Amino acid sequence: MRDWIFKIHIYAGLLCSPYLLIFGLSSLHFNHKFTTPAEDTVSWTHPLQLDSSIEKRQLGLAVRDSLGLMGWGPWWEVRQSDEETRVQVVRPGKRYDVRMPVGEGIAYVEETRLGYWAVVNSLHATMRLPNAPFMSLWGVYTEITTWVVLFSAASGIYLWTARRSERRIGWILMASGSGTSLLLIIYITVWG
Amino acid sequence: MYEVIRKVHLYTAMILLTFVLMYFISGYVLIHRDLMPEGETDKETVRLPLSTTHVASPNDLSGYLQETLEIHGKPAPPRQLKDGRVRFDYFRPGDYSRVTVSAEGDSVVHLRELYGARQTLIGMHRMHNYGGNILYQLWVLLYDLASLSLILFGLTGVYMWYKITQDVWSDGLCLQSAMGMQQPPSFSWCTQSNP
Repeated sequence: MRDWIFKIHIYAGLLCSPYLLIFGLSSLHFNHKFTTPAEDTVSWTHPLQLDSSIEKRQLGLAVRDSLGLMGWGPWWEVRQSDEETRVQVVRPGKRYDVRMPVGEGIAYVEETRLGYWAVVNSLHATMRLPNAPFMSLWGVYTEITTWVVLFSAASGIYLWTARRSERRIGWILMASGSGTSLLLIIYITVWG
Repeated sequence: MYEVIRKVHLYTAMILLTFVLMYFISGYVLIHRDLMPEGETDKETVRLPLSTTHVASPNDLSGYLQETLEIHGKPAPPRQLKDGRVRFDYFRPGDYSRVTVSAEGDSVVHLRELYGARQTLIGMHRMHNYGGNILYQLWVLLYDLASLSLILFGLTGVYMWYKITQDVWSDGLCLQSAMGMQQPPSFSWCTQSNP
């Protein structure tokens, strides 16, 4: 039994180790902002006729689909005036600012490439990306990794209990490190 | 070397176990929003006459407001609004306060929101950036250490797997060639109890 648990611990961990690296790096980046996003822009145009019956909240999504882009088209970035309509489509590492002058039938797209760190950050627990079927696999990977981490914690403790020579130091570290962390979490949440 | 790496892997896990688990559990709640009910948010807005003109700097004012209005949480950097008001935000998991000081410095508007269990967990996940009192600094330090530990678990895990398989395969091949056995190599040597 212990042998099997060890095998699952090590192979499941191996499967998820790339995710852990990305997760660790992106978590650190959230806290320290190693770099500011790059702002390399490329401009292009594309013929586009929008159905006038589309609701304002759906415009970003409609433009995204018409231009064959992947990502989200947030409704709060839609701007409409008598002269033009502006929407934004965002995806990990890229932002598309789309301007559509009324009556021209052309979308003027400014594509901003935000750089490598923006992609790493976006991979932090992204479950899916609209119009990107393969990104659903990343969601599956996220799901698997979460369960593997929970399993690894439990199985790690189980495997440790077999090592009599490390019981004392293990208890000391768990009580001082994890015990203190638990108290800190409770204290901050209740009285902080 | 293997033994040192194994100990680093194990001991780091034992020290940071709670924080790593907290981040994965709260992250899971964050990405599966239907897992827990939204819960009710108690909102309360109060307008108070409060003179703040005697407090010189925005950071001092932040502390003064926190003390006077008995606000909990980690203060965020003050924000000057275009109309002259100054906004102060305070946050801890499950509890958010926003205090807006009038441009004249004679009154404040205090908005307080108390969240349910789900938002409290999500709040734990989102408490980044150094600032606030020593306990909040410690929280963010542990957050950093938990992040580093994920990188460490990944790298040390791969190292240990590499060493184990290298040894096991070489042992297994030696055994097979020496004894003509066709058994697959076993991991049992690395999991057996030591005295």
